[in-house]
Amino acid sequence: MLGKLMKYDLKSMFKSFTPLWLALLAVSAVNRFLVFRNDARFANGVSAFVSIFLYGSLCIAVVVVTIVLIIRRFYSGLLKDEGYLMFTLPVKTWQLVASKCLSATIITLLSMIAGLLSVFILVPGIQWHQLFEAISKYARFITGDMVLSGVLLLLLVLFTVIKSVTYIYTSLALGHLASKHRVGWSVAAFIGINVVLTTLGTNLVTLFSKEFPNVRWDFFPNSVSDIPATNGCLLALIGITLVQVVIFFFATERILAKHLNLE
Amino acid sequence: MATELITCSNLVKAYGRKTALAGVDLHIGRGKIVGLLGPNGSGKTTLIKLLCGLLRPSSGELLVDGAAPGVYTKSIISYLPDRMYFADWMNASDLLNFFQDFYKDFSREKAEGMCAALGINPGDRIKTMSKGTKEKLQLVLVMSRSAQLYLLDEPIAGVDPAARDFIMNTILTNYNENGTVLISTHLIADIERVLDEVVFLREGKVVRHDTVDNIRQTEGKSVDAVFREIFRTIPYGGEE
Repeated sequence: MLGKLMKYDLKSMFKSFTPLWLALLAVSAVNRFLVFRNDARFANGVSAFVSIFLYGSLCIAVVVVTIVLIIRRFYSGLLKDEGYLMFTLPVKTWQLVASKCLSATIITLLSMIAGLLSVFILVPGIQWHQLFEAISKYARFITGDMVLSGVLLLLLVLFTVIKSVTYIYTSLALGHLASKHRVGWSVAAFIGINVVLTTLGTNLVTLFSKEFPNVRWDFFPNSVSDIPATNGCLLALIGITLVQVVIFFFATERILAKHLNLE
Repeated sequence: MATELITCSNLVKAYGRKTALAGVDLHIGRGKIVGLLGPNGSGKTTLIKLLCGLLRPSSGELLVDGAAPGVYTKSIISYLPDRMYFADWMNASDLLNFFQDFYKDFSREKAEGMCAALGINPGDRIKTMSKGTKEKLQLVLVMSRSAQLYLLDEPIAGVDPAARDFIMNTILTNYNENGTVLISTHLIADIERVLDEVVFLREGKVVRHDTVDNIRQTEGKSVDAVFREIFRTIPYGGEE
């Protein structure tokens, strides 16, 4: 049933996102020819500034629209009138939440890829063959630990996206419990959760530093020998993020399963 | 398969301090058309939402085909809410696919036939349909299922008499005869002729549950007349 739910969630999201991604890539292509007609002009400071500004604006646009649409799909898809259809389907509540969450994650990752592609289109002069040559030249220096770092970093990005999505869902689920001003209460819940997490995080770090003064947090390795320590930090971060994902997911599921309050 | 389709024992639902259902005891069998009658705010919609699993009881017991509301009961209940529940991005064909994917008892052939009779094409977008067409499409989907229990919340409220006839005829010609249809309404005169049983709700309590034949025989009046008697409100300044 989860697969069937995702089929419709993804279909609805693709309907909104495909034009957005295409627009992003198209704008990048147009700007490339309007702003950077040749590489020499790119070296000019003003053009470089314009390029960064354009890229920044496009990224912000994609991020904002992605967040807004993810919120809208959950809010109007489950907590407004469409909820009367979705919550009377013969499926479990966790499947409804998981379908929305996984679809939103896939869409976010695709938005990131579209953002990355847009940079490649926007910025001219990327010498692909030189890049690949450089990679192959240094490939023999790449150790297993470095590969592990890359994998852990990607996992951290993935789980951070899922955590952000489930965090938004929990805020919306909490807000929908109110009889009036549900959007306002959702925003309040979002801020409240943030305050709790920040306070908890700071206290835990302080406590940890006191208990284990010798442990170093090496996020940025200075040499190859530092990489295992960095990987340890990444693993710890992934663990913390996963715990948050589990808490947010089950909080949302329990609220909707036990206290569904459709208008 | 339990002998009783709906069993409510001392069913209570409260929203904060406000009690919507105050100890409902109700037993409804199979193969019947039952009217859930009561003025606005009497608890009709709350009872239907509890039956279809959109709300959870505050206390008491509620069983549909012997099971508490959950995935199984949702698979045998066909629910028509008092509002539009479609996603705007879909077209008629998407909706038929959706129902076919989730409900084993959905007859696509029946739904397509009814859509064609209404002039709804598979490619028609929900967004561009009129309110009346959307309401009819929703009814078509709900009645294209061969469900054990149809829960129809105010299906004829706010529509013109011609649409009312269409709705009642669609219900009567398409429901699964081994299943039960529970229709909530306050427009009794329009549906009285089709009802087997009626349940009168007042202030969250069942004040009468009887067969229509019995009411007519013992009271010598129509159900509509009995309803007006039970729910009569004396206007301000009026006399008893």
